[in-house]
Amino acid sequence: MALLEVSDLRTSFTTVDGVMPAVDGVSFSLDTGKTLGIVGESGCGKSVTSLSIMRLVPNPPGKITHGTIMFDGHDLLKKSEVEMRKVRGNEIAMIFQEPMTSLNPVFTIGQQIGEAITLHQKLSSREALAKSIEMLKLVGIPSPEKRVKEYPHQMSGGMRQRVMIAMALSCHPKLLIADEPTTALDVTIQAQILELMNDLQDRLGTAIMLITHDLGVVAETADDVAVMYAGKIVEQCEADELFKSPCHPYTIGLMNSIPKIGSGARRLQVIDGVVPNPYQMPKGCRFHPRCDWAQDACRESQPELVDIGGGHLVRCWRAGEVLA
Amino acid sequence: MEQVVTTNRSWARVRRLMEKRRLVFVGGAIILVILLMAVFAGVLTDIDPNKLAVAKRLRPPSAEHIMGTDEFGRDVFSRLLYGARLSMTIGLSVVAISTVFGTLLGLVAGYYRAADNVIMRIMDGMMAFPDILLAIAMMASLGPSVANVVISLGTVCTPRVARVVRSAALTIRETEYVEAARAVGVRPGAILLKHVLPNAVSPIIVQATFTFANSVLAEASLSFLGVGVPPYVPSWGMMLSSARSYMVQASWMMIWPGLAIVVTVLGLNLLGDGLRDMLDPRLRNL
Repeated sequence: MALLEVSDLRTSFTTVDGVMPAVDGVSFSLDTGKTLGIVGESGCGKSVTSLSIMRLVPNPPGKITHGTIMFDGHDLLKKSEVEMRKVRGNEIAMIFQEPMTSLNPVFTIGQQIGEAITLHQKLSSREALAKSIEMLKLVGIPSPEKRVKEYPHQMSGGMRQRVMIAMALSCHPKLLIADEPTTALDVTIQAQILELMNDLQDRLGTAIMLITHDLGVVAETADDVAVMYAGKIVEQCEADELFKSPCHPYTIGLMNSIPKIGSGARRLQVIDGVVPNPYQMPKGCRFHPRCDWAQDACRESQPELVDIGGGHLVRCWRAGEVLA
Repeated sequence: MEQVVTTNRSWARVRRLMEKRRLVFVGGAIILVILLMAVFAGVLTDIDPNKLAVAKRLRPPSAEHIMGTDEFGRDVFSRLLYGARLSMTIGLSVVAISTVFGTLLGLVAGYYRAADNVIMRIMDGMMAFPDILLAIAMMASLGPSVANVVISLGTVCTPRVARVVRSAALTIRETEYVEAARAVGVRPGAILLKHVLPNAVSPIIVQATFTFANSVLAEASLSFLGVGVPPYVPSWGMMLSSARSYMVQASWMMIWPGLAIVVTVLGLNLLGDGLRDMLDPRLRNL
């Protein structure tokens, strides 16, 4: 049985303009020790999916309206807030996009890691400090005994993201949700952080749900990938398979948008048009207004996510025909 | 060796700070002097502030009564010192009450959306009354006593603190470190106290100094209007009030308490302004 099994998750936000379905029937599963990449552009619902799993969607205005999130045999959506607090940090940990602002400026690194540890484990403050130093060492921070007494502003962005990872892993969670963990970092640091996450995953056996808009990051780390568009998964398969033979026009568009060195093209390739207004989703396939392959069927009705062979799921009427 | 270097460096920092922010230190020094006057009132003068000597009424300043005497022959200097004690006691108590309750209400209102409307509408309602009128109304129903002045001024000052803290809490609750704390499983109460409150301390401190200044002024006003402390308690406001009838014959009766109020409030405002600039990172380099 999979560690995490999300099925038909629907989360919507109620605003003055109406009800906005941010996540609309998302299903996926993730096994222990594996990495699932969730890819999509801003506003496609990937962050809301992760917040839904943590049950941290701000309510109001947000609300999980449908679905189940089975984690380790229990439905997270049926847990009380008190039970959820025991899961957060302890069994599911999360790291965020902005390492510069994810640490509280008025506490030392050690105090913050220590807080995460003592919340879920019965340890004295001295033991917690020792554990914090050990975690900092694990994530490759030099002279951790000194660093543990420092404040966040004394560290660089890459260092802080390492601290966030140390904090997230301090209770040995079974699942780590990384919401764009490298977006705010420059490329060399990005590579280091990804390598660190891969390495720690091998050692600790943590499952990672990696949310990103960067296909390069996915290629480097993920075992499976789910591509999201306008609140729905449009393509889902193994990472290798996705890069070898992307089938959904949106995925193909994303891949073509990656600038290629030496191609001689003067302009970047883009997907024409914009993400649809969430209050007025287009009829039929949500991608059809931007799709080069769209035909009448696409404008009429919404395609289902179908297996085109070997667990490669695509939500497209022309999945068989469209190939890059 | 290293210790010496750091000490030197921190002294250099203090000196630089003093040069850059002279007014804060002026304000701080004024308040320190007033506080010392209040604490050592009994040492600085051995004249009982309430000792009546009708034979010596309205005497101008002399060696015996360096600030003269009032209409009952009481020593103005002694009453000024004990008046400082009253002002400082009331000021500090009002600050304590309004800061504790204002911070509590502000944090809850800023953090829990459901509570926000309830708390802040009540606070707005209280702020809709002119401060001094609300204080007078409360004093009228409670009766004159030092404790009641503290209660009524504390109540009047609380909404303003609550408002400042709420706005800080609103900002802080949206920060990523609060979200990160939630994601680690910290209880809401602990998030409020450990993550939101420490980051809201600087506006609270600044508000506290201004509350202090306002309450010194408000106490003087209440006593001046005769609805403050009971008549036998030496109070600057009360001294001013009784000096009104003798303004021409005995100007010292009015000058000294008036000056005391002005200097104290000025000192507190200088301190508050300076602290606000020092604690606000956006203004730090100005």
